[in-house]
Order: sequence, then C-alpha cells, then structure tokens
Amino acid sequence: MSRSNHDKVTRLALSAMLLAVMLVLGFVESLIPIGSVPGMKLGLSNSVLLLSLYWLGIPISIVLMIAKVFLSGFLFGNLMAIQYSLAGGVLSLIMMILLIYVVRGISPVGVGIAGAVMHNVGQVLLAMLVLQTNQLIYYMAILVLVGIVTGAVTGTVAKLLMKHLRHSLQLSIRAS
Amino acid sequence: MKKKDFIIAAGALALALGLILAVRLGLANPPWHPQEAQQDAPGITVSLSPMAEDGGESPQTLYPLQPGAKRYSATAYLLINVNNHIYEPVPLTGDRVVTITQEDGKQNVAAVSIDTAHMSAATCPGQECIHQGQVSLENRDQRVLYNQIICLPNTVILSVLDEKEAKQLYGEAP
Repeated sequence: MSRSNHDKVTRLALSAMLLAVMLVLGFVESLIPIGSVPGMKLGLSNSVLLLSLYWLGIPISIVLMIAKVFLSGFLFGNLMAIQYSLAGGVLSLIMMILLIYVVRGISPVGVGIAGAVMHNVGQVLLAMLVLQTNQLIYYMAILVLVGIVTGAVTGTVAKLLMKHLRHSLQLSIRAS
Repeated sequence: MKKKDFIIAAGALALALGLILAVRLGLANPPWHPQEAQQDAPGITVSLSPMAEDGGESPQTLYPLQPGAKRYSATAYLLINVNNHIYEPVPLTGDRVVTITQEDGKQNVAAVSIDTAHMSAATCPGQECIHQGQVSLENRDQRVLYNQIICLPNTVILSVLDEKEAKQLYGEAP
C-alpha cells in the first residue's frame, strides 16, 4: 500500500472510531446528571472533537459533529434535543476552528474552554430566540461559568489524549 | 496552559459576571412592557387552586397580563411564563397549587406558599425543574438559578418576584 493510501485508511478508520467514542460518551453522560440545571453536562465528546480538529482537520470534524448530533439525537434524544445540540455544536465548532486555524497559539485547554462556552451560549441563544424572552439571560451566565470549568476539563483530556495516543496508535498523521 | 488560554477564560468569566450583574441590577427587567397588550394564549390553561381557608371555591383561571391590570398587595409574587406568554403574577400569600396545561399534553404543577414556590410535578423527560427546588425571597440570592425555575422542554419559566419587581412589571412608580 502506498504511503498516501495508508494515510487515507488510517484517517477513515480513526474518524469512524472517534464518532463511535463520541456517541458512547454522549450516551454515558446522559445517564449521569451532574446537577439540576438543564443542559449542564461535562461534554466529554468535545475532547474527541478537539482531537479530530487537530489530527483530522476541518472537513472531517464538521462531518463528525453533525453525525454525532443527529445520531445521538435519534438514538437517545428527540427532535428538540437535536435542534439545541446543533445550535451549540455549530457555534462551538466555528469558534474552535477560528482559534486553532486562524488565531493560533492557543493550547487545547483554551480552545476547549472557548468551545464549551460557545456550545452553551448557542443553546441558550436558540432557546431565547424560540421563546422570544430575555428571562434566560441569567441561565446563560450560569452555563457560561459551567462551560469554563467543563471546557478546561475536556480541553485537558484532549491534550493528554493527543500526547499519549500519538505514540500508542503509531500515527503517521501530522498535526496541522 | 498558555497566556492566550487565560485571556479566553478571563473573557468568558467577564461575560458571565457581566450578564449576572445586569440581571441582578434589574437591567434585564421587565420581561414584558406594561404598555404592551399581550396576545391570547390558545391551548394553554393556567389554573390556580383556591386557598385552603377560602373553603370550597372552584379553581381560578389565570390570564396573560394586560396593560392596566390591578396588582394584589403581597410581599412576593410568582411570575409564570409559558411559551412566552406572561401571566398575571400570583401573590404568594398562602398555600395554593398552580396547574399549567398545554394543548400538546405538557403539564407543570407548581406549589406555592407564603413567599415561596416550587415545581411539584411536570411531564418533562428530565424532571430538572423539580430538582431545582424551592425559590423564596430568602434563598433566591443564593440559588444557582437566582429567582427562577426553568423547565425548557415544556417552555415554562417561573420566577419569584419581590414587591419592587412586581411594581415595575405593572408599570407602577417605584
């Protein structure tokens, strides 16, 4: 097999694996509520998406995000859950792409924080638009604070994964 | 972590604190302008049980708040927002039950008492609104969600208002 074919196969296998991991993480998290605030969760699948952004690039990451939202929505959620996670996912992914590929010089921890915060902001913004109300501003502020903490955790997880997985997977994929 | 990471975290923190401050200072109030006539809310029924001491009266139906509505005197009120219809606030002067029914079968039941309220039953899948617990004039400054109980799946937002906020809502001079 030529070098480039080998790369393609590795990428394909890796993205399928990452999607599976994201779905499992999303499902496990939906079983463990970490508070009574609606929408409050760790968002560990964002670690995986971060990994994909660094290793597999923008197009595959967009596909992964959309696939994750729809698959986990149909499997474990409902139509409303899909709307909200899509709003959060799109805003979060745009922010992370900007930080990694345009702004640069930011570690996965910072990108994770920005991604988590924007994910939560996107969800509440959609709720505010749907409900046409300013009564959710306080809720948004709380979710931004939550996002700083969960984003730092998921960003750190992504950083550690990248450090250790690279050796064990013998990856030939270059980080961008 | 690098320097830029801290800038991101600090920016997000500033955003959150700014929003919290804005709400606490009343800049996000009122959720409804006292001069605006509200549309009817077809398919939504909000009913209020009579107070125990009033005896056998039948439940009272609540309607969206309209300009010129009269405010009943109380120290605290429960403001109910169902799918962006804001109902006349319930004065928290005794034990009563508020039942919010929507035409698609969604139902929320809130139990109110003197200066306090909580969601006692809901048809939403996560039941998070019930776990958000009691809101009262005393505890609302310490609560994570301040004066609110939020049920997103059913689009119901309950807020406990003090007298000053209620006056603002009715457009009275403070």
